[in-house]
Amino acid sequence: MAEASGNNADRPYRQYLDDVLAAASPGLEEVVNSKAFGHMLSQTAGNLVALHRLGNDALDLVIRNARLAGRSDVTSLHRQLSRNEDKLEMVLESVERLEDELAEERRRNAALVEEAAERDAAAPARPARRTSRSTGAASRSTTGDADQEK
Amino acid sequence: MASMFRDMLRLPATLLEYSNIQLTTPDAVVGATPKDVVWTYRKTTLYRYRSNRRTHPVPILLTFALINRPDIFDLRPGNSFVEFLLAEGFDVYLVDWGYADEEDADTGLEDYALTYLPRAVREVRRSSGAEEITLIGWCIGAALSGMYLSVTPDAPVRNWVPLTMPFDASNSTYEAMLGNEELDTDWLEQHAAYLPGAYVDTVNKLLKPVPNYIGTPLRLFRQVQDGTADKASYQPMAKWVADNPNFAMRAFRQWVTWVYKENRLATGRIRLRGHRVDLSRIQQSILVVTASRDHIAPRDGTLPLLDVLTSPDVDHLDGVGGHIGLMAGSRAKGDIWPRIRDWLEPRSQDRRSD
Repeated sequence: MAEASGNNADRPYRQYLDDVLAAASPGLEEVVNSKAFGHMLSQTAGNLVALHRLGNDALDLVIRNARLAGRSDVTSLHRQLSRNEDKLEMVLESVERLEDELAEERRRNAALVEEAAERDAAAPARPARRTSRSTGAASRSTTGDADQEK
Repeated sequence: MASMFRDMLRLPATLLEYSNIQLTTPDAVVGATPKDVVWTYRKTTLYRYRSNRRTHPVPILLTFALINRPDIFDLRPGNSFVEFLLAEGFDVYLVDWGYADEEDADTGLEDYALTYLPRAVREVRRSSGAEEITLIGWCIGAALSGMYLSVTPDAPVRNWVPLTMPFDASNSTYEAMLGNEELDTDWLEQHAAYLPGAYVDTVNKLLKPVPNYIGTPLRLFRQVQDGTADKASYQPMAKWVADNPNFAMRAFRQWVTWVYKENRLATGRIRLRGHRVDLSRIQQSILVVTASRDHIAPRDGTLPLLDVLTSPDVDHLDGVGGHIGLMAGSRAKGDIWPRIRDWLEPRSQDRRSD
């Protein structure tokens, strides 16, 4: 109840403020859209960057003269670490590619073994030779995998 | 008169609550959905969201802009696009570009589009076991994913969803602000490592000065006065808005010069590592999402993209809302998200079962 009455009491002021803002909004947006504002913004960006650089350079000089690692040292260390990470990432890519190839090879070999086993099972005679052939295929597959892993 | 007196007495309590909301905003939790780190490279991190409801075989990779945090995809429980996708049975990944600093001064758009993103895609495929993925990019993230797809015709991507993507900047406010000769981006690149996030945020807010600088705080104050303030929904968004990573200067120079000064993205004149960025080469299924009240990437600046695309499967989804509000506003859950899901679902099935 108190809130409702508060709202009612506020209403004219709120309405007045809303009207002022509604009137100001398009005008301000027009200003922002203008080329002159763009120029001012660009110059501000340039000044900020220049001030930032001057401040950083001065601070860095103080810190380095105190024989402490400054921001530029951290940055250069970070870049060296990044170079190492790049190399590691390339190794990872190669390892992953080899893993994929190995998995594919294994799948292919397993399919061949299965196929050979099915073929042998379908053939009624000469069980001894059938066993030998199937073992041979399996051992070939194992040898191939071991080579890949090396 | 009595009610006015009562309001005056209530003013200290109102101010106390208002300042409490503002002061505790940095403590709000954003991006709360559980996720695991799948891969990291420099400052880029690939996350996979935990789920036991994955039913669609094509995973989704979310990419966001460089000037805000990707937490907007997972703003808060109950209003999270990630949460929605997980509930719909998608396998969801997110690439986070991290916070650029001085050491990232030489990171350019080609690094994001042709190194970080393809590697993230590779890791998504490896960890999910999927042959193809869906790429959803928002704002600059959409442009980066478009650049990647246009120079990588054999990319293992089945679907591409650019959300409110800046494309044709001619006659836009940004062109007026950034396209002038006073803004010497080459000089900036030589003398600074990054453009501070706070500066980028200020420029973005200046596009709508009254709503951003007066309207939002005033609305909150009135809601506190009326007892209708929703702290749980206000704080995550306010925290996200205030969290602005720096823009690596090389990437900034390229973005401003190519998109706003020379309008190269729309005219197909961007070259990344010698490859021309020609969006007409993208042959994935594409859903272009625009927002009717977008002032960052205006709808009229994105629509020409539809004339450029030559893919046989292109759809356009026009939603009501602003650049961010479209996907993260309170109405998104019941409007735009289900429409994106409806488009994605049939395109996220196993092709072998067709």
